[in-house]
Amino acid sequence: MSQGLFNPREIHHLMVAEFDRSVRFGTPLAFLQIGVDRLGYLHDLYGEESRQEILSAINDLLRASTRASDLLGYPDGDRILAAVPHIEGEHADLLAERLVSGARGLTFEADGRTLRITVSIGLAHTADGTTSFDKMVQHARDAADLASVKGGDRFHRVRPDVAPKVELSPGAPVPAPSDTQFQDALLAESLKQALSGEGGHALLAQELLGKIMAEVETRFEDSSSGDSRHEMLERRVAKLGDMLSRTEAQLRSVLSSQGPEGVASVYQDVQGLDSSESNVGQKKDLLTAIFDANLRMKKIIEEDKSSSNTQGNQST
Amino acid sequence: MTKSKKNHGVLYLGIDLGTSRTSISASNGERETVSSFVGYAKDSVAEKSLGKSTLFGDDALAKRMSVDLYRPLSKGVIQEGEDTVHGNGDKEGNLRAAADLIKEIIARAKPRADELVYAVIGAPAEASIHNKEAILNAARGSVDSVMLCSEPFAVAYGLDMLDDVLVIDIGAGTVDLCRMHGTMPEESDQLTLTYGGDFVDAAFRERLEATLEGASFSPKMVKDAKERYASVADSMEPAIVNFPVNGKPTTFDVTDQLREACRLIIPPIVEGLGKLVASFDPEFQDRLKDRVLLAGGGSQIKGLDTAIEACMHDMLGRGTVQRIEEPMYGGANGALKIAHDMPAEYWEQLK
Repeated sequence: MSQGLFNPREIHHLMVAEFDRSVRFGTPLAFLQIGVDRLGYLHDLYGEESRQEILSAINDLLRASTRASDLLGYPDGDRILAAVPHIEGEHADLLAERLVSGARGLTFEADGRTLRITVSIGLAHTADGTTSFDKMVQHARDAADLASVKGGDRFHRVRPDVAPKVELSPGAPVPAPSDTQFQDALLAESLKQALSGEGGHALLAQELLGKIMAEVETRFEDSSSGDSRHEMLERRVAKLGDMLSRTEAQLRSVLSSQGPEGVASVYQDVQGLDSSESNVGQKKDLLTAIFDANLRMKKIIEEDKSSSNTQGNQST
Repeated sequence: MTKSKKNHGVLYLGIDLGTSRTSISASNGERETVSSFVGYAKDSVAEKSLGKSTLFGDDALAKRMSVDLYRPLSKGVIQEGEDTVHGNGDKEGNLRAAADLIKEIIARAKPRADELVYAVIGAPAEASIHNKEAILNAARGSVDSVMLCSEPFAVAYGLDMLDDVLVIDIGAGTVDLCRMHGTMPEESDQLTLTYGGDFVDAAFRERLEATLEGASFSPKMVKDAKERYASVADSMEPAIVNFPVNGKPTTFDVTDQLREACRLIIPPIVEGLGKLVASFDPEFQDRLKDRVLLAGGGSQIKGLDTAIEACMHDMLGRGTVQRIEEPMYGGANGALKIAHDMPAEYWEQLK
């Protein structure tokens, strides 16, 4: 099943050599681990021939999308490992995106129906601070697992050393909006800093952090594909950033004043429950209309009740 | 009135009482969703085994052999007849279950004992006065003051999109379409269709029964598969399910059946949008078509926004559909915002 790819021993040997070369000369290097989503199920349903056809098509896609000098092999199982030397991080991201998109366009015929597949790709890059070969391979594998667990049809890049180095000083560089993992870490770190030195509010910090991170996770799950997904993520990052700024301001206010609402008041602005709304006049009319409708309903219900009580009394 | 005074001692709640799920958003930051199922232990042995007499949501569904199971809402309102999918059909039981469900979801918002609780509940526009009364009675035991409002209106209010907007709210029981034009939507501004999530489930199930020979599956298994994979896109991830055949777990690819079932709801929705557009001021019809909001649990069907847009282009000449970011909480968040913005004296008068 090698289909011209290096076997596990060969690819390991070559990747070690590439990694050593990268460290010695300071050249960039990326490892990609590529897996077909739900390949096992497809094999169970449509047989070995279909599985081989799918792997062969992925192999062709990889060859067409990489350079002749890039190394492709099977480390174990059905995932393919690609070692791509002399590639900057952003170009490695583009390559992974191109592979995910390319896989979406592949079609296969089996049992009279058209099958489409998706792939999950894990990406590790030397620019992300990985210091050993084993860790870099592991990061690519972990990232592929994460991409698969999140529903597949995506790539994930592990950046172990980026998040802890987040600087929140005013002059700190702003990360690219598409780097969602970095943004998540930034949000988390900002919240922690907002409450630093206030030990009594550790629970509040944890609670807020949990809510925001859960929201980020949920929104990742909901995201759709392609360009619209990218735009949606950018909008969400911007929105979360805005929520964070307001949360920080509210936290400072709560911590300093210990107002009557306590921590609950933090959420009121964040959830858009502030009183400085636009369209105040229009909203007032609408709210009055809702109230009037409910008041009318209340009166009708009370009249019904009193008339049925009267009828009950008369019958008794 | 200053904000701190307005908020002091009051917990505002927005509740989306749905056929499939009930969600709550509270001004203290709590947000919860529970499947709209209530189960009462069948006997004392079951109660002892369950550790409680009443179960809610997925817990109730998971223990359905040990409980009398109620799905108190049908098409967004409390059931009064025998039209049940999973649960019992008796009216009194459904009223009790609805009251307990509302009580439970409010308890999950963690109100403090010293707080006034004011709630706005989203209800279908076409709910009868008796049903609205039933919802109000169910809620009154748990809150100090309560109001009802139209569900799609709540969604639009929550997003501050009050002018020239069409809202599509896809629930399990119904699809509510609402035209917003700066004033309270009237009857002629709203349409309720019966092509919601339950309709997709039924259509999906029909197709599975016709194509998966020998496979057995429950409504929950069908619904789970739909919620996991639902898509209308030509290129969707394979929907792979495991259904037993003669007791043996067997893997099936149900991608085509699911896509077909999901696509069935598109034409009636666009026809409904067309009706609302056609009776609107001609000068603003194009603006209306370009401001369509997609909300509700059903909006999570992958590719549905794009597919509705394409169908609008075919049938209405143009259309831009925007899926709201939080389908599960769009209605509850909007209801919360209404509750919060409502003047205090209005709440007092409805106590």
